[in-house]
Amino acid sequence: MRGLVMAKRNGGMRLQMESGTFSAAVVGSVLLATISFASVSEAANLENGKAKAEQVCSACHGKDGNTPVDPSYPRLAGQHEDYLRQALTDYRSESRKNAIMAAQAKALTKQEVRDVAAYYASLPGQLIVRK
Amino acid sequence: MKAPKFATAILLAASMSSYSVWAADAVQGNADAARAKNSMCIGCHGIPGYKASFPSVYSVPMISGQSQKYLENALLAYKKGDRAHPTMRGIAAGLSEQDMADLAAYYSMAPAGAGK
Repeated sequence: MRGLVMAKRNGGMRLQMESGTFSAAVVGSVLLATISFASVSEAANLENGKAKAEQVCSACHGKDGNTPVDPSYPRLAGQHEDYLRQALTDYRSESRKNAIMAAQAKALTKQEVRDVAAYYASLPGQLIVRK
Repeated sequence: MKAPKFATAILLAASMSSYSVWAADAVQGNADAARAKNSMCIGCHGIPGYKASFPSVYSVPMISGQSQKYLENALLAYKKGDRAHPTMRGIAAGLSEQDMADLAAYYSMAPAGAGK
């Protein structure tokens, strides 16, 4: 929100500025807006998600998220990000009961849940919507 | 050499009968049969971008392309209560083991080259 306020203030200053100064001001406020939005929405970090996934999840779900070591384990690659987040949240609360996943999910912070969900959703997979 | 042959025959018969008992217990999924049973699946899982709205809003999972075993376990877990989503619990409650096996067989067969 701070970024938006800055942008408006800079917009108001526009009339007294040369065009070069104006561009710099616009770039500056866009940058500020981006930074403040990132901190507000607690964005997922794909790099951290990849690191965590390879450290924890890949032993069972496969390094590519698409080759689980047992047929009872799901493919994660390409799955919807918000569904993956929900699944991990449900394992943590044990509204979805699975001894292995309860332990794994409880060991993750909320940020790590966001990160690994975003990472697996970003991978190419074979899951599709089909009637 | 009669006695060992007889023993082999008994062993063979015993293993065959235990095999057939095991085979009769396992429900075989029939993907073709699922076509008459998946009308309640496609209203959510067949619509791109569809989100479940209760009890919380999130995209319904893509199920086609998961393994038969995973899908069957998921349906069983809803029926048993190990998974809590109310809509899926209601749907799974009305499915027999044969229905679940058929649907799992159907959705596990993703068309080749599918995915994003």
